[in-house]
Amino acid sequence: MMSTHTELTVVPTELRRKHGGRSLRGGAAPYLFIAPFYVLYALFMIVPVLAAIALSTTEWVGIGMPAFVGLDNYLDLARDTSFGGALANSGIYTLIAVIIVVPLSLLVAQGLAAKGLKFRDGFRVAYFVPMVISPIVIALIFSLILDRDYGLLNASLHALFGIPNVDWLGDPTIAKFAIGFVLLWRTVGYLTIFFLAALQNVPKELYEAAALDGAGRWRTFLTVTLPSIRPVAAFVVVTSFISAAQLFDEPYLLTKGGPGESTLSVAMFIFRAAFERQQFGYAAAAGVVLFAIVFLVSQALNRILGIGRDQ
Amino acid sequence: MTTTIATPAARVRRGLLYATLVALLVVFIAPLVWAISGSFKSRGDIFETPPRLIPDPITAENYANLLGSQPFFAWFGMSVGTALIATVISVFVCALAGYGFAKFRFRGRRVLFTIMFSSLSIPFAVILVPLFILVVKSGLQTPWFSLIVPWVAPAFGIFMMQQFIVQSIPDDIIEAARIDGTTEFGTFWRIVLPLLRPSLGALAVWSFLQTYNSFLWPLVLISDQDQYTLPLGLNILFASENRSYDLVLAGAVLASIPTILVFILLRKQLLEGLTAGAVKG
Amino acid sequence: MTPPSPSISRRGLFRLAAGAGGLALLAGLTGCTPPSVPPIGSGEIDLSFWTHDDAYVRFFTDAVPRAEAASAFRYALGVTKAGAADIVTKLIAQAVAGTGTPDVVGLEIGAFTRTLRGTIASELLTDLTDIVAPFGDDLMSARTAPFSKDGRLYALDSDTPMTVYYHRGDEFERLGLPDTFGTWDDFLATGAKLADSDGISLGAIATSDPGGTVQTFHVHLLQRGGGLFDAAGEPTLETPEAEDTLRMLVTGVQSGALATVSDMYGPGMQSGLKSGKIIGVNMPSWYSTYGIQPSAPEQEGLWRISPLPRFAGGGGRTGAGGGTGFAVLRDKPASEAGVQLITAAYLDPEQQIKRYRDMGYLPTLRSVYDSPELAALEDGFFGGQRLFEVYRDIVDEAPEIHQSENQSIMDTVLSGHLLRAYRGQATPAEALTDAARDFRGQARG
Repeated sequence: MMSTHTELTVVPTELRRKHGGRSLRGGAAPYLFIAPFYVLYALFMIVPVLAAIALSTTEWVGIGMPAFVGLDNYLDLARDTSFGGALANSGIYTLIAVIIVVPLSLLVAQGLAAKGLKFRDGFRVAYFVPMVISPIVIALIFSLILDRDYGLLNASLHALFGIPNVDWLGDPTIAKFAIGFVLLWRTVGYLTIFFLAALQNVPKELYEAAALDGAGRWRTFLTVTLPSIRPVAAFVVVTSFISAAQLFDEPYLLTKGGPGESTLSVAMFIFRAAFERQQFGYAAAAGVVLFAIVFLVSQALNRILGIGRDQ
Repeated sequence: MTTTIATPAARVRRGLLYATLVALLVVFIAPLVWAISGSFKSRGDIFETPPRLIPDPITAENYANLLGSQPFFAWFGMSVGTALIATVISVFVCALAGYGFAKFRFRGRRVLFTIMFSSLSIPFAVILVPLFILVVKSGLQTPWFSLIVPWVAPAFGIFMMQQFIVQSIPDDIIEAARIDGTTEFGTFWRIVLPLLRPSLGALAVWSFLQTYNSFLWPLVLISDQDQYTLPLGLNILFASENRSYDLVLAGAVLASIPTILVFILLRKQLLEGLTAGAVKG
Repeated sequence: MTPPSPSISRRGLFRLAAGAGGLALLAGLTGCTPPSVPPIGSGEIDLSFWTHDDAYVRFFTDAVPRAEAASAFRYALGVTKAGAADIVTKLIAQAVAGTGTPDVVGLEIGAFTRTLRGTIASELLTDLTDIVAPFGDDLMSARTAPFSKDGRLYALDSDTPMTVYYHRGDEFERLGLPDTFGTWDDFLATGAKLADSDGISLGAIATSDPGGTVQTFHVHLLQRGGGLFDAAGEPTLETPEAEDTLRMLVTGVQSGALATVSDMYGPGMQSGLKSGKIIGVNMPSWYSTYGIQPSAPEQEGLWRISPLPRFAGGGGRTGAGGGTGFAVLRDKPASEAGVQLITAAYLDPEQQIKRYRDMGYLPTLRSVYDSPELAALEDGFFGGQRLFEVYRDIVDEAPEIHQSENQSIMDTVLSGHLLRAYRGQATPAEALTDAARDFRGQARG
């Protein structure tokens, strides 16, 4: 039934495309659709954000009136080696997320999407489990597994390969990658779900056409799969970047930013300034800086990946 | 796809695939298994090395102690209840707005989208205090309302819905409905929404998790211990000087159940292939 | 390309409005301080009581009849529990909102430092200086100093957490070790030999969690007669005491006399205690309840305590670590009632004895240490040892602690450099100088 309509609508569709897209231009409908969101958003996001921006120009311990200090907080941030270190660490975490975690999830989803795979359901539920466990338990478990002297990982490595104990959480450099690993463990299964949903939306006909063309697996992947899932893939890349840039749970619970400050993330820096050092103005300023960086990079990613454009 | 599974090469490939998937499965669920196993061990046995899978002696004392000494069911109810409410609201709001952004061209669309999108980049710790003051000063501090406030209009959800709609709802369907004379909302409700089931499922799960696992916001909002959420409750046990590992493990295992349930219930939505509904040609 | 929409210039205006609006908003949101309410003088009182530990809830509930007898109040306690650090977060958040603050709050010593910033302590907490004045020196300054700011006292401490040397009496006998070591040098020499021959450590320190790492350094430093901050709140890292302490610890760690664990309560410590690889530890008096007994309950009867070895360079035989001070929020209806409650519960010899028996927290009134009742108490976990013989012996050497609002900065900065020293990547002097430099970098004005 659909096919007859398609034939009828082919020409008008193309005409409409030329004129910048379909549907009601001045109608009230789109505004009504986004209204519920915007009402809530204006109340619960915009108002606090404005207040936070204002707060970043003050010094405030939480009690009494904030004292206006102009751009002092920002100048101090520029000189704060702790903040610089946090930026670098968060940079590492985002690289791990975008370059390792996302492709890995896609790979796993490809595996799960294989035709005729048994127990697919079981795999999916199991892969989702890391997201389900409370962060406290994750921190507890991984601090045990990664313990230098009594941890499971070192015990296994030693038994299998004779490797001496690695200080996963105590060495400033290695600890960063330990955090990255926990991040990976936590999110791969979850992202796989997204990719799987996207992969299963790709019309079978496209694959059949490619097979008829004689395309191998890799070419099919590049020319059929990737383009078809571009919107969702783009979404995954951008949101993974954004949430890795704001990573808090893992460094806070596993190492408290340690050893020293070698795993401190920017989000943890903000939390620490606000809730451990009572420096709300400073924290707000750091938040504004983080926001600016993340926003600019994600906008760039949006442009590159074509988000907000039609397929 | 017309690859046959009969050839030896394909069989080996398939075997490798299973092996990898199973290995991943072990890695992903091993910690939960350890937690479950540990929750049935007495305090002194929890950290034995090498860890035993089946506790010996096996004991339910941690669960008994937990349920007996803490208002665990109250915490549980509060967490699950608020998460469900937030999920329902946010899925609805996000689907609506995502559709609006995805399938319409209107004045200010780019600006409004950018404003919405920019909120993703805002670290929560920064808006926490102003938002808290706002909620308290407007007298809306009752937990059932205030707990869900940060999670009912998540930009993440709208972004997700928008992208999924762009990918999986061809314009032709909407055209067809319009030509048929359906109202915009009718199109949305009767035609688009059913096709979005997988993404709605994914969004619902994400939304549930956000509210369920949130810690900082409930912490500043709630003073009455009987109205705590699970993360707050578990943290009391964990953050005290003697780290009640035994109670925490039992609590964490129990706390994992709702999210696993939600996921299991919704995975059919996540799984549903759209080949049936997609426009052919 | 779509022509530039009019909303671009609108965007500029929008930004301006946003800025102005934001400032106005901020003023509006934070401006109102609640009018101070005169405290109620008598009658029924609903007291909001915040703490991080159930044991305090029980203790204060038991103390209610005493408070009622000494005053004209009738108490009903409403309890809220939260983690030690979270209590201060909640306290400040509620104070900002102008409502929902507690009446009596238990502030763990580290969490208390957060109230030292700005005017938080003096704005929120009742000044107790005049109330405790009658006790004079009997209320030990070692325990009022940490909870004071600018010479005013803001909380009553629950404990005098002196550090002692816990050790396995049976193992010491088996290995022919002396019950007390004269100096830390003797301790280290014996410890090194023991680590070499038997793989057993005489002590342990924490090296993972920044707070724990600094605390184990701090307890030794206090014993040596030094401190992290002086009375003016300035860091005192570049001192001979600090260098001496760190040198001792580095020697111990590198020889194996001191084992390193990620934290003093976790699986690493538990494993070390149970397996007998760690047979002694320098920790405060509450550590047996919170660290040893939960980890190794089967070792009941085998442990002993003794005073710590001295530092050859100076200082006494004990340090200090931990403590929780109870404070009363000021300018609230229940302020008066709150003060009555904490003074009745804590500032009374009988209550202090009860506190020790109920919770294991040592008295904060010096005169109570001479109590014959306490002197006779035998502790089963310690094979019947009379612990107060040791406590009374060392109480006069309990050091004063000066706290600073920048404790959090100290924790993060110092822990990193301590680890460098333990690993031999820096000499003690270098590590301390680097820490002081980084501290100054982060402590802004």
